[in-house]
Amino acid sequence: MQSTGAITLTLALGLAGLAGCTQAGAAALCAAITARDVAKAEEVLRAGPVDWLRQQWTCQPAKDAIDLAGEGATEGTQILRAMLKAGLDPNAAFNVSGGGSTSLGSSGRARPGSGSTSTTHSLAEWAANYGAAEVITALREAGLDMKSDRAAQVVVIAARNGDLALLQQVVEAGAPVNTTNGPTALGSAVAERHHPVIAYLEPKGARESAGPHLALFQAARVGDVVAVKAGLAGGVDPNVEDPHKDRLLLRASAFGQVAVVEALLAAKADPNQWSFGESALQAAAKEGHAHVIRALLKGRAQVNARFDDSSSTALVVAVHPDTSRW
Amino acid sequence: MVKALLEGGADPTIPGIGGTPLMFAAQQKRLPLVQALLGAKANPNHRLLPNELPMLHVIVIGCENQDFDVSLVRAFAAAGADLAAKDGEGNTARQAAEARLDGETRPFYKACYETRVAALKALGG
Repeated sequence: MQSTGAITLTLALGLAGLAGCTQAGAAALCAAITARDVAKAEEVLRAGPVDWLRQQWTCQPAKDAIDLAGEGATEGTQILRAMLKAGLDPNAAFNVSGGGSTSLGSSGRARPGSGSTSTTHSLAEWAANYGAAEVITALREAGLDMKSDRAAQVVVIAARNGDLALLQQVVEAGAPVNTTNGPTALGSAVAERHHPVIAYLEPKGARESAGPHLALFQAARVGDVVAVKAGLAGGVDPNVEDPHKDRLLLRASAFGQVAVVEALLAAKADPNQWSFGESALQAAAKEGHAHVIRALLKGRAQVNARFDDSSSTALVVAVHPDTSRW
Repeated sequence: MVKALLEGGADPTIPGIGGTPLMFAAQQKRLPLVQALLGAKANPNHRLLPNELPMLHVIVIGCENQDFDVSLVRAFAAAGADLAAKDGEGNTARQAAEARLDGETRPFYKACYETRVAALKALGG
């Protein structure tokens, strides 16, 4: 990932390049974006570049255009294309204060890092959060560096959201499937249980997120009970977490690995542990693994347990999987 | 899967986010699942909120999916759904269907409500 210093430098250079830009120009551009008026935006841009990255009051032109595209309006992409033509750097990054993008996966299970008060995003990352493939295309055509760590982050976002179409677009355009630090694309897809994404990434050499018990979590997912037992015999806590804050028992339950579930329960794994408001029983119910449900119940999982009074039991999740969201 | 949970003692009366298992199963028109839940003592008269419609009303007035099947109505009635239960306007399920029928000109909806009114009449509603 790009260092904070490098980002600051990028922003500083971007702003220096816009010396003389008027605040009024940005405001006029934002007004055109709000009105979805492509012609007006092009007219504003003909007068010269504006300060398209920095937030001024509620106006942040590049972000606002992507937001509009993310809402499904083609005008957002058209206006962003006009900005790129007028000189907006397709590799630029910008700050968002007051919340930033969500780090929720498509399953709705909250992930670490959400709720930040000030975050930095590249244009491509922001578009990827929306699944706005047409914006990514526009950025690529304008010279987006597909070999950068930022491009790798786009891969992570697409994988986390289960957005296979966007994932394929960026990977086939050369984006790395592995990041140099932080959660990886494959690790995110595994945590969110996006099976088609996992199937796409694994043959391409994608690695799961680094962590002290990575091999054990991989073994739990693929059903390598020998490796799991060896790890447990070596003293690993059966309730250990991975970098995505998932648990071995939940991982094995979600992927239908009943032999691993039984081995973990035999090693005194807590059958009623929670990860992001979800139990192993709920994970098995959501993913449709009846044999795992039976093993968990035999291992004293509480069949009617709920994370809190407003959440769902495993039975509700089994009937309506979307209700497992916390 | 539902069978495994019910065999393990799952309580179908506990609501979750947005409804009960029976309500979701009925919405999905999954008759075997509805029957399994009713067989495990799911409450056919549950109202999630005090002012919410009884489930039977929801089923009876739901003709959106071009579904003339009244088997869900029969399953609920057989499990003890209260045919005299009233909605916020004071209508029973049959009266609610009749109210929808009144003035309905679209052939499909007309036929659908007629089917439901007839089924409820046959059940004593």
